[in-house]
Amino acid sequence: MKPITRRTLFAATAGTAACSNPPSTAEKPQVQILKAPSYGQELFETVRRIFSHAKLDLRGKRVILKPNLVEFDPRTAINTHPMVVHAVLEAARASGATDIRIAEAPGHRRISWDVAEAAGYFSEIPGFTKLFTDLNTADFREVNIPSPHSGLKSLHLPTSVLGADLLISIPKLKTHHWVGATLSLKNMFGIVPGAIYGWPKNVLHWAGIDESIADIHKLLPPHFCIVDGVTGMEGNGPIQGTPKQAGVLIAGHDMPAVDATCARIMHLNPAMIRYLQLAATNGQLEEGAIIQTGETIASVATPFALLPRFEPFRLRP
Amino acid sequence: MLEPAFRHLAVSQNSDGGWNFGTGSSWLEPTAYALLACRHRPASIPIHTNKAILFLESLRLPDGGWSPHPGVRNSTWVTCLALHALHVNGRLSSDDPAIRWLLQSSGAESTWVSRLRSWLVSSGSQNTSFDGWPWYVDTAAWVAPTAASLIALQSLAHFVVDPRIGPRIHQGREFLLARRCADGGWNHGSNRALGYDGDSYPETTGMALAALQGTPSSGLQTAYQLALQQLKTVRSVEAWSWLVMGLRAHKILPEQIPEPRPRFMDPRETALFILAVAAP
Repeated sequence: MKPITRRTLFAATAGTAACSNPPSTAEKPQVQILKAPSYGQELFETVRRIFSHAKLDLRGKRVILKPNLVEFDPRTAINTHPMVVHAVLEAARASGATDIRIAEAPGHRRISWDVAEAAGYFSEIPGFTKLFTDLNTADFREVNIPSPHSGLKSLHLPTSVLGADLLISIPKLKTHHWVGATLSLKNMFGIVPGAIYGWPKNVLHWAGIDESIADIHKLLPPHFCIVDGVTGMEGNGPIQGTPKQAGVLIAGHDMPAVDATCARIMHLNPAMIRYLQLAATNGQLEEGAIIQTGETIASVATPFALLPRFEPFRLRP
Repeated sequence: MLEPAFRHLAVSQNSDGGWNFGTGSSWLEPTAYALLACRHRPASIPIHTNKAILFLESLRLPDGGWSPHPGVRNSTWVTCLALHALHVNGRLSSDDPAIRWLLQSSGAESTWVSRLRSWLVSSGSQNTSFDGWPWYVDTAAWVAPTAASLIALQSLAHFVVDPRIGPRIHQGREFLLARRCADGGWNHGSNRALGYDGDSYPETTGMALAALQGTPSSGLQTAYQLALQQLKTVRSVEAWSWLVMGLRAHKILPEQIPEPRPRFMDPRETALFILAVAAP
């Protein structure tokens, strides 16, 4: 019998509460699951299908594409693959967006350009240098957090992100050694400016990682997410794990619903991930509360290796 | 080599006297580095240092520390940069309250409560025996703010009479030595997490070496070798500049230095480049 820790007991209890109030059909979030076996040219068509299905009309809009860039290690798959970002860029252009920026504030290395170059963004994304905004040093404004879960009352966030008509979170499908998994919600740590909070943004850790993730979620402009699960990371993510081929893109407007679907694909119980419990205010962690389109979860699910401390998070049949 | 860099600083100075990170409004950090670099400038290039110092002074907060930007109301690690920049420009009083602020600033993980908790739960992946400096108050200490604070305090050591400076410099050096990665260099400060070794970065390796000037070289040989190797392949001006400053601090900078391959140079990188090239 596995020992019950305070963490797992709390997670299970809160998870039950989060799942007890499913949304009505009219409010049900939609999540698309599409097979994407490689980072080849077919990704462009796959992402166009995602945009089309979501009816993303971006004519005249300001759009921020927010990948996950942390640091580069050729032995593993830490960062969002540049081909996915390129495909989203082209789909946003085709949908009529007039002002598109690729924006990120890497959390460990402060030379964002070095991380982006090493990760292949310069070579794979035409005109990347003109498209990129380093959110670590961009202009910002202070935003109060309504009813914060964390110890934070406010955060300074980039004006370019806050003023976007659409923020597209493009994270990597990865395990995370502190919170279980890092997906579209955790990716939003990367809009917090290092020039104020440092590298890493340790303020968010001391205020509570799960709680800070949920608080940042409250401050976001209209958003959409496309999770790069072509090759994810398992084990000791988000940096020192091993590549995990999952061959899938997961997309939708509702971050908790998208992340809950990602968790199920990774064989993780979303109800055990505390930040999902905090961010899901509409019962959207429950599988039946989400309208899944495209592939079924069962057809793409593949168990991600977990650190022993996260085995209680494992989704059981 | 340096004149174009100074001209870049001259034309990129904002009307409020400060510098930005390439676009937008002025911040303390690039302004402080520009002021540090300006002491090497030729007289023929006009840079409004008095205006820059006024901008710097405008960011001073009542608690004695400095804010990184006019839009932030908290003192942060940039206090060490403001102190250093004012000192080298002859504008610092030896009893400036910011000196006390800097001496009192330390990582939240090194309080006795945190150390006790870490010991009780045996969660100490990191050595918390020494007081480094945090980026932001009430958070943990990391390599870059510790290195920058050490560099500032070492520059003040003969100017300020305060018995706390020597022990704090010792603590900061020990913090850096305890946070070395297995490859001999430094990353952001998490050299070992959950049993896994982290890899070093060139910029933090150079910064830490610069801060460890005067430390006996016997234990730093692997760091030197790594930094010399990184210098050959590094791309950004920032990383190149810190590696040059770090290696020079230990008198092992080769005569032939590979030139950086800059993509861009924002005012902060420009100032660091000047400091790397112009310093004796």
